[in-house]
Amino acid sequence: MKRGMRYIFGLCVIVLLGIGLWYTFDDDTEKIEASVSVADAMGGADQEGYLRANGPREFVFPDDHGPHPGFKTEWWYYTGNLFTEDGRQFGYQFTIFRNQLNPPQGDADSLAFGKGWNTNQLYLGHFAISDVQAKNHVFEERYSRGAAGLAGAQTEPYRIWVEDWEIKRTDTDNSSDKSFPVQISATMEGGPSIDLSVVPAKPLVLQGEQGYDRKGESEGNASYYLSFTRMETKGSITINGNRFEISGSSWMDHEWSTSALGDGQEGWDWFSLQLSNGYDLMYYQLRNNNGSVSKFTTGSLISPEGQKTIINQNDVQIEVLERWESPYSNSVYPSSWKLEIPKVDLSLDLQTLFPDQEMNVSVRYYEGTLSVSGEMDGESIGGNGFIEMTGYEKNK
Amino acid sequence: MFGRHTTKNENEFMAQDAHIQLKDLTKSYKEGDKSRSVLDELNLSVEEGEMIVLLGRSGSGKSTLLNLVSGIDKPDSGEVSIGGTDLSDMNEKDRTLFRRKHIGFVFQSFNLIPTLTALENVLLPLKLKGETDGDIIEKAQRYLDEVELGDRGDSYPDRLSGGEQQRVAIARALAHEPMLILADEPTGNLDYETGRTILDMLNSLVRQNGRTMIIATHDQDICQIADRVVELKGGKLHNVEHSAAAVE
Amino acid sequence: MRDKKSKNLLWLSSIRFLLRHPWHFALSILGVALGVSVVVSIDLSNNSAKKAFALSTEAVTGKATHQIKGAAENLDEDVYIKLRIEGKIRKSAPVVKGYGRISGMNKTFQILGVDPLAEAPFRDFASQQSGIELGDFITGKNTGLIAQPVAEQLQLSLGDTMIVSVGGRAQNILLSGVIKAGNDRSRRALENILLVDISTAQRMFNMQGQLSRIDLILPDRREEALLSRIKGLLPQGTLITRSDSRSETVAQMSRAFEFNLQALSMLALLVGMFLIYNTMTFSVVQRRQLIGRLRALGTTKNEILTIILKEALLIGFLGTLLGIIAGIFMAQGLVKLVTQSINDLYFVLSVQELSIGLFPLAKAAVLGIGATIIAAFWPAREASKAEVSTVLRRSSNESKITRRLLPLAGYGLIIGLVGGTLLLIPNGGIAAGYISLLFMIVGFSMMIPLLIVGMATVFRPLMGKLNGIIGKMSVRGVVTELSRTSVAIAALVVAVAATVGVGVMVDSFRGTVVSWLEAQLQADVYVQPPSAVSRKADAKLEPKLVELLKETEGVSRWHTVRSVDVQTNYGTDQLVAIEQGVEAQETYQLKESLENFWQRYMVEDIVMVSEAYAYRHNVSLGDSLFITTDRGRQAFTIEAINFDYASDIGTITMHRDIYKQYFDDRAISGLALYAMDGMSVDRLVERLRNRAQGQQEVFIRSNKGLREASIAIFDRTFTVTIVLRMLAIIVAFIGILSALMALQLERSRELAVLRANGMTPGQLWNYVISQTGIMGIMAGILSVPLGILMAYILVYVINLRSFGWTLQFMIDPQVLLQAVGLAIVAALLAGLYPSRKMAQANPADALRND
Repeated sequence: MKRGMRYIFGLCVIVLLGIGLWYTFDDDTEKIEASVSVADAMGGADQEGYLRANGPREFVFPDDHGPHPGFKTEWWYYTGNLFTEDGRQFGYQFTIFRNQLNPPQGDADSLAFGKGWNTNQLYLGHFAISDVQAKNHVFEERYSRGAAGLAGAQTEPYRIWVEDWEIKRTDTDNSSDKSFPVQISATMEGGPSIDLSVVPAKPLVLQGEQGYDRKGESEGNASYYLSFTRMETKGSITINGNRFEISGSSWMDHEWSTSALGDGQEGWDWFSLQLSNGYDLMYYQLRNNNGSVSKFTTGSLISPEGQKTIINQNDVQIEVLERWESPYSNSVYPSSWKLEIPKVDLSLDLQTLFPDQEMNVSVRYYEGTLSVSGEMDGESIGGNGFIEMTGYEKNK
Repeated sequence: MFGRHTTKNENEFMAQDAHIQLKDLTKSYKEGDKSRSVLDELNLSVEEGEMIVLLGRSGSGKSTLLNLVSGIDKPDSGEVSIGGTDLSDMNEKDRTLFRRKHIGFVFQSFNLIPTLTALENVLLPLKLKGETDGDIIEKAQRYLDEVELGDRGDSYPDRLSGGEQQRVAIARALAHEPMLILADEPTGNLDYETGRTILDMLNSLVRQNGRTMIIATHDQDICQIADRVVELKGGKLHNVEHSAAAVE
Repeated sequence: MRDKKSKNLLWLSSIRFLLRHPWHFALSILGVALGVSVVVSIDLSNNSAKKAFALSTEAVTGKATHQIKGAAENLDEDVYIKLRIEGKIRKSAPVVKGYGRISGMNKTFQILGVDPLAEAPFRDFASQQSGIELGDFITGKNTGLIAQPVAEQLQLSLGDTMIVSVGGRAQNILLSGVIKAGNDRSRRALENILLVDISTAQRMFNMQGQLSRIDLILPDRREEALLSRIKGLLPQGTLITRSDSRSETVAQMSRAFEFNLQALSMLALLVGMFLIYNTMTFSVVQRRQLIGRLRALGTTKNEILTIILKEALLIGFLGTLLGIIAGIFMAQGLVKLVTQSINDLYFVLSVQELSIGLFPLAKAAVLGIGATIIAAFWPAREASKAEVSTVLRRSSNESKITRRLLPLAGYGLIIGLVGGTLLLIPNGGIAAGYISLLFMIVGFSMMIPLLIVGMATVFRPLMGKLNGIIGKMSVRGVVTELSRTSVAIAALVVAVAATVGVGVMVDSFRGTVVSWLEAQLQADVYVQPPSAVSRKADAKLEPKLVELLKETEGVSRWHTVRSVDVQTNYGTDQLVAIEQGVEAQETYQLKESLENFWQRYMVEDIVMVSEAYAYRHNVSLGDSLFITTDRGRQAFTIEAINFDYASDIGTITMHRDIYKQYFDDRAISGLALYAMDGMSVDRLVERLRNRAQGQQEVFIRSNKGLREASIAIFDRTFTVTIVLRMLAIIVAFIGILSALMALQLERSRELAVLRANGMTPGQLWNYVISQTGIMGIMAGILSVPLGILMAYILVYVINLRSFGWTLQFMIDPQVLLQAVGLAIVAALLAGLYPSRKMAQANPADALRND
């Protein structure tokens, strides 16, 4: 009898202990949100009150190389293929995005930086290096508010920066020169870095209709779009603790808009190719949700002298030959194409130099260096290029 | 009725194989600064199965002697040998253990454990002795039956009359089949009638089981059932002739 | 196996005895329960406060490993920009921090200003990844986030405006979101946080261009290299410290406070132990017969000992269980008091709920059961050792005790002296103080039996005169049952002495503070902005307001005070810069100083430190103090030590001119004004209040008002102590009650004999009440010297070692009289029940009882 009581006491003690322990070992785990797709990021956000690209306009330089507050989105986008003396190849991408947080409110809306932390502008930086030989792709994202000197974009002196990643004008003599050289320098937290001097080798190209590039049906679903399609690049790249002196060719795109993808648009494939015969091709394929290609798909072929020929969707036949499934993001990207533009007698085989060049940052997209080979005008040609792809998630 | 007595030995002095042997036992008590001698080189031999009556006036030291024999107390000098074991050498713990296995005690004031039932009281010595569980309850019940209280097993001592309590005490003293039974004025707190009944019971049960017993009393009537009567006077034991007629 | 069986019956016989005397059982359990409950409630309160503090610092510190702070209060924000861009230190975050109140809630909030874009590695809840709407947060609107339960309590929904008051100024903050915490732990801690953008916080605290600190995460393996690189980028005077060191300092501050509370709770347990001893002794004594019979039947001494200890274990277990439950309930109330005190004295703390940890409960269980066993051991041993024959003979054992009185008292004296010598150990610390106190209590208790006998010889003739033969008998009775009465009296003595001791200490303290305040507050009116921590001035007066008030008609002269946290070679300390000239010597009472201190302190790099400061850091006159200033690390010589009861962490005082030389800060923390001759102070206060209307919200108090406010805080702090005193008294009372009751009940036979011999019920009442009354008087008388001794140690040792304060020892005779009165009342009350029972009982029953 007494023993029974003892067992009950013992049980009570154990139960008390158990409760106590449970209290102590509180669960501490937390989870971070997965990154967002571009369509989600760019689709349907509130666009009331922002400036829109409604039609072609006059550009003034160097001002228009600078920022355009009032427009919701803007970027300065540099890609390039660089080679060491021995021929070892590296691809790089360096982009600084400006995002406006609220619609402009009269004059009060400025780019205020310097002292003071309030601003309407948010700056994002994307930096990636593709080491072709090692098939290694490193990337990093950085963001900061455009205030207190942390990030910003200014024309005089020309500087676009996010913390210690910056694009700076190197010659300041000829201020109205629209083709000015810049210095790009950036270091990732892990160590990889670039320090490049980039000089336009061809004149500025006004993409689309004199710089006005329509993306969709509705008014204002367009951007202002300027490119330097070929730029001499020299400098150094550091990766895995090794520093390489390199030279090569870069491409710069500067776009600003308040457009989003229209309803029914899924994503795009954007090719920038620099051909060995001096031609540069930009082809921008917008894809619809239903699998068809949007009629706003467009491109341009720039001659060695800088003449622009508009390329339409009808002019191009493009076939995806191979695909690659990303292990990180549930997306399947094309990795090899056949591109033919009969109108200019161009036939190209395009292949990503190695498959894994996906950017898994707060928006998800693919940015990779391409090998280019084929024929133009009967001549065998080669070249380098970049492919940017978005919207390839399997189930949405 | 009062049982025949067998005279074993006129000579009370040492037989080496005596069951109980007291040799030159001395005990004195301190009272304040003075020391009072109670037992003075006392000697006694008791055979197995003998019933000895220990006479003496109040304060003569009867209880003391019993205490020494049972190992409750230790003599100043001398030897207490029970069934061959010399208690005077042992430490308190060993004496206690000896006592619980081999000695049964019946007290004047019954000394039942008030928080145990009658059956449990009888059971106690068995448990102390360490016997296994299964049969001891039956055993205890049997002894309780023998003292004709078999149906009162669940009663607590405060529900029993004096005589009934003493009967339980007797059952208790016998239950663990000890070598020796000691009784200190067992009828002291009882009226005449009840007392007689108790003595009868004590006598028959002890005789039946062949136990050795020492009864301390100043009641002369008890002498009639004893095998031998000794008197404690001046710290020493003296044999007493007894006969049915020596009652006064 | 066989032994267990035999013990079953023994156990049974024993436990039934307890159950037949339920009062004993219940009172013993109650005694343990009370002692344990006090210990538990104090522990839980302390722990909850500590945990709340740790959680909230943890939540706010986040994963930062290091922090960069400025020399004075704040840091230039350029440092951060430089660090991040030039230094490429990616894991860095700017922080602006302060306190404010949200209207609608009587609670101080911690206002945290962050850059959500930099927060991801540090604080999940503050990072833009947790869903903060950047468009609302960083773009210039003043918006903020609070915790969900707080929003509910304030009945606010997203988009509503909160009115937040900082340093007396009200600001509108739009509620733009709810703080999303990762888990339960942080959620609780974040309940007193208002999260805003850096820009908003800078505006709220008037810190444009400045930060409170910069948080860093430096990976372990590169820490050395990074640290040296960072230091190279920092301007002079900025300091980089490990982030855990700060909470360490703050935790240290409250340790003394905590320790004292715990010691007081131990006192309650000690009294509880007396109670156990009491009741166990009685229960053993009542069972002498039972034990004797068992022994006669052959139960060994050890078996008896074991049984009694097992009983004690059972009582201990039940009592502890009850005590823990009661303690948890009590803690709910006590935690509020403790938190309030910490709030007043040290830092802003808000404890949302009681955190019931396993450790305090386990500790209480061990203490409760342990105390019971210890207290029961002696009686158990006594019982088992008793010679069987003696026990059977039923004579009492008193003669033995009487013979042992002198040696007992002798040992007691020795123990007391040992306790005294413990005090002589330098750097003994608070622990030594309490241990020595314990020794003295035990030593004194051991002398009590002897003292009782002594007092009895005096009382007997007195009582004889007052109360006749009954009076004499009642005194005699105390002595004849000395082994029992002395324990009851001792318990009462210790408890009452404790109240005397603590009472005298509090009075001394209060008296010292009051007279100090009188000297310290010389001006007529004092102006201060409201601050989050009562004892710390951490807000500033608006310069405009200062000018306005200075120029008020009726003001003859004024001086200002600036109070800041600075970094010294001892850590973070409080520095006060005063403007007074030589006349300051009227205000500040110096303990020691070098010659002409007041003349020189305006021009030389010398400072005055408070007594507590000197004690804590073991500095004295002539020592150097290194303060990190805006001009770098400077050495100042300590040339005066003053009495200061406002702060236990200590203060450094210097002249404002010197301060200006080394610090760029021109702010004002407080303003003292003197009224012109003939101007009524109250009228001046009115006038000042009118002028301050609509400006910054400030406290404008007259000298008297400020004094009263300060004393109120003091009293509030000691509320906890008072509560504990009362608990100790209750425990003692219960103890006395049980002891006396048992005592009388045990003698029921003796008293029955008296009744049978013709004593009337009335006379019996007289007898019992007189006896308990005498015991009460004896206890009261004895508690006075012990109480004073305790007070002495509390004031001159424990307080001194805890805080470093010199207190004036003040004994108010009232306290002593109250103590004696308390003892007598307790004893008399305790005697009521037994008297009634005895008087009503039928003597025949008692006599018959075998």
